[in-house]
Amino acid sequence: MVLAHIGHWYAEILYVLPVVLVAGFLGVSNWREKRHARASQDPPG
Amino acid sequence: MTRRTAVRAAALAALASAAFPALASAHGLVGRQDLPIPRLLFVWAAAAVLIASFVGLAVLWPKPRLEGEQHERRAFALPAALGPVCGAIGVALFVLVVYAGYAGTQTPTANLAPTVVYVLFWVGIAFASLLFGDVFRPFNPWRAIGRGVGWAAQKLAPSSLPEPIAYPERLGRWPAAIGLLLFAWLELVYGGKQDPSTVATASLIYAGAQLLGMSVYGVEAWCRNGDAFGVYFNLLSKLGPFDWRGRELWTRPFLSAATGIVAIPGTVAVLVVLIGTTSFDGFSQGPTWNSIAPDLQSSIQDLGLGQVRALEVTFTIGLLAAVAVVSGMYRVGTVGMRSIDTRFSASELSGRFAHSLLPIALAYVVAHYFSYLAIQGQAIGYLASDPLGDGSNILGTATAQIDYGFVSANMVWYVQVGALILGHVAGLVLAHDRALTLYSNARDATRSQYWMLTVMVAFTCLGLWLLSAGAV
Repeated sequence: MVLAHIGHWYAEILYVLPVVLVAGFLGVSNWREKRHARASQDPPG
Repeated sequence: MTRRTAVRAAALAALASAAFPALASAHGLVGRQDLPIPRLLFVWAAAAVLIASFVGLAVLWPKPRLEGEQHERRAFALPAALGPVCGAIGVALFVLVVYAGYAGTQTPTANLAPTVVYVLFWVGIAFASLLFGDVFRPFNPWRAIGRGVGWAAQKLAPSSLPEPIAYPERLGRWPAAIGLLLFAWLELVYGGKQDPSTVATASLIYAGAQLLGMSVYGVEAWCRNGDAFGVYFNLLSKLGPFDWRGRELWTRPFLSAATGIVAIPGTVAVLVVLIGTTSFDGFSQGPTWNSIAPDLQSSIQDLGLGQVRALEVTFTIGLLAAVAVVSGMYRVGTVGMRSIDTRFSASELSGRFAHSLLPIALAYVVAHYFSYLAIQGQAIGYLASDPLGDGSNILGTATAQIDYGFVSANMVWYVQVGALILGHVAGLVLAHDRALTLYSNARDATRSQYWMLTVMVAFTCLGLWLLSAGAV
């Protein structure tokens, strides 16, 4: 019964998987773009 | 978004679509209750469509197209005499509904009042507003009464008539937001919501409140801001191609008028209430809520409330929580946008992007109520002949019956999924177009919409999850 409950819970969580993927992907992209912009502004050496 | 990021996102979307080819041939569905592919795949595919749309906007839509000058065209004008006639029809229908509610049978399905208010008025006019423009305005019964009273008073005592008070700017559309929340409470929470006499009483109370508002602030100012249904139907009409200006009909591109919505105070609240209450309507029919509600109801009963009142309090908590969740999701989007450019406060961004919530609100309404309108709306066939449920047969259609096979379960599911996807893509388009006018370059505009994309995907997943839960 416990396993059935966990299975049901996981099934519900899968509905928000796209949100997690999109937020993660865009978050990482945003962070990398910012880091790249900072690196290009810093003077060499 | 850089081109490399865009290509990666497109690849992600394409991969998701390719991974679920069954969706492309999902015509073999035999009904919502027995889908050949899991509903979960519909959710993932819908998210993939949104991501692909976002990438398409980032690459192919570098300049604002919907904002600014509108391509509008005057189609035709109706005779001036039709205005009072439409108003009189609206008042007559209102009187009929109230009379039927009190004088007719108290069996909800056999009385005209509940079907007219909950199905034809609340849902039917919402659909009509999108397709034909703001058709409610000329038929608005309380506006017609207010205008009629004003006209008569002007004729009888032109000098002693006081000027209405200027409508307070800070009040904005808040009265409409509260009115919509109260209507949703009546429809989704109140135990006696289907009783025809309750519907009649609620209609009279609402009309009284509108007449009071009009008498204080003037008919047009109140109808534009304070009349919950007037505001609701008018906002929905902004998405469609028709615009009634007095008795003139103008045409315009789809969505374009939404950019002209001025987000006065309460506008976001109206849209959030619409999405939140519709969400709760779906959520309250699913297994998650039905496993929470009994425990919550029991806890409230322990405080000394009766069973029915405890259930109403339980559902009220659920309704308010749903509105709060939707509000929180939108807030996350606007606060996130601020990280791109701190010139705009989160509240300012909330107002500037409020119009992007409008197609989502419409999508939720279509997805949740399409089958309700198509099936339950047919009841008007027999109710038109027997409005009081007393056995009369005025038009000879009293024996008409509801055809439950009028729309198939397949069709309902396709309409629901299609409406949610189209609504959210339209929301993305409006938000992207607005971002292009706010930020100095297309790159920043696209980056600001990362957050909006996440919110739109979340709304889509929520909407489809709610529909799936209700279908179990």
